[in-house]
Amino acid sequence: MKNLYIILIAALLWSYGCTDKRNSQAPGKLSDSAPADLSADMSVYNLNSTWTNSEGRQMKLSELAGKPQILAIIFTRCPSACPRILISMTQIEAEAVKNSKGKVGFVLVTMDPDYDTPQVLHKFAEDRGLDLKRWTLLHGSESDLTELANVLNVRIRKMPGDIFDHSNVVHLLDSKGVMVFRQEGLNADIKQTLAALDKISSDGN
Amino acid sequence: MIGRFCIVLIGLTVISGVCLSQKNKDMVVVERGVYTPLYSPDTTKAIIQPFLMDRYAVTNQQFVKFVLDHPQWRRSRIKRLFADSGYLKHWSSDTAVNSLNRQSPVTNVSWYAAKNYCECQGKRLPTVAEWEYVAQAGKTKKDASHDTAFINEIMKYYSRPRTPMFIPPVGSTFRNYFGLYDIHGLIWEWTANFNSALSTGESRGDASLDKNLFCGGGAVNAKNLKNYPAYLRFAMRVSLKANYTVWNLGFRCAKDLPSQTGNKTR
Repeated sequence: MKNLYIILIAALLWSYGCTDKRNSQAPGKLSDSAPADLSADMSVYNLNSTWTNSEGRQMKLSELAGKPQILAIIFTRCPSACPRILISMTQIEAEAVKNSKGKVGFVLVTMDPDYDTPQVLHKFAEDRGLDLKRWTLLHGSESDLTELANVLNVRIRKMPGDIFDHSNVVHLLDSKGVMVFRQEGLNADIKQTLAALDKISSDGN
Repeated sequence: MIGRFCIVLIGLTVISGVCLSQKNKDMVVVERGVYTPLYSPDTTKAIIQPFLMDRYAVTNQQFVKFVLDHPQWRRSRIKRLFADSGYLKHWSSDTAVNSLNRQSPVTNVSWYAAKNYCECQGKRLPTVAEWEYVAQAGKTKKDASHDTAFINEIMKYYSRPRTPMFIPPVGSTFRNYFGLYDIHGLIWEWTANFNSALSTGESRGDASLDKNLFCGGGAVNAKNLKNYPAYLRFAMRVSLKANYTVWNLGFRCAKDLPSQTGNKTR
């Protein structure tokens, strides 16, 4: 009989927990207590979504904090625009390394999570000789990707034939994850981006 | 002992069933259909997989419960990244709304707030295709988008003067073919992929996309030029950013049907 009471009480508590259960299961996209150095209101790293990198490791965007990041949302099957975005980023990388502009990282996020699995991203990085010590390639759910795209103001539209219409932008985030510069368009001059990178590096950002 | 255990097991199942069904309560099943997007290349048609949709828009009262449970979404605590300074400005405090507005649809909420609210319910925002598909429906007709009378009625709603102090409660306009209330006549509604409409800045004039700014801009001419309300909604979406709040922009949630997860229409 005592066991039955215990079970019934447990059932009551569990049913109460049913309402709260959804809270603890909630994606919880905001981190309620961000570490002090991520408290910047406009930091992209306020997003609490979980991503998988090309090594198959799960990570939060806040792990990218600590140094400026050059970031673009692309997809590996992109025929023309994304390769040019990537070239632009590698040019920035070459300049940054040459002029020892301190630490800077490079991030590619896929807008095609169905096809661009972490394994596909890994092969993509390998094929293009991207140094994974500097480059992070990220895979996330479509919902998280849409949220990130909205934070960065990138428009994405899936078209028939596995092609995406998308904004052509390269973003510069400072070490706290605040976007400080947008390089727009495919023919953009990287000089402005490099200048912006220079500025935040020398400001200690 | 086994008998009692079985009773408890049945009890637990009933309780869990009640909990789950309460979340799906007041959702309608929208049957499979075909929708022609207003802007799409050539003859593209979207297949709408069956899905669940909230019968009513989310109310102020419901959103109060949400911010009580999730303090980071309260007016005084939300980050600017996730909502502009108009967020819940019509509320009397962080966690209270004027009793007159309790059953009105919640507005002055950003896309992030709407999305998070739905996800905390185990739901999601409807896609543009899903929303526009149900928006075609009149009171008795599944597709009234070519009915002049229907379109004129919607245009009448859109031309009403602004009344930011008070929006009528949910359920006060019409019930459409799918059993959904107030798809027209109350508020604009957020969608999951509102940002998928591509255009340049002030694009009311041009039908072509600046190819340097956008990869793959196909010819995007509007399909049904008579459906002016749909065109207005399209223009509205294009003008929005995810952290914007607008006095007459709210939302309702949708949900995949269990067998359809992964087949969501875009």
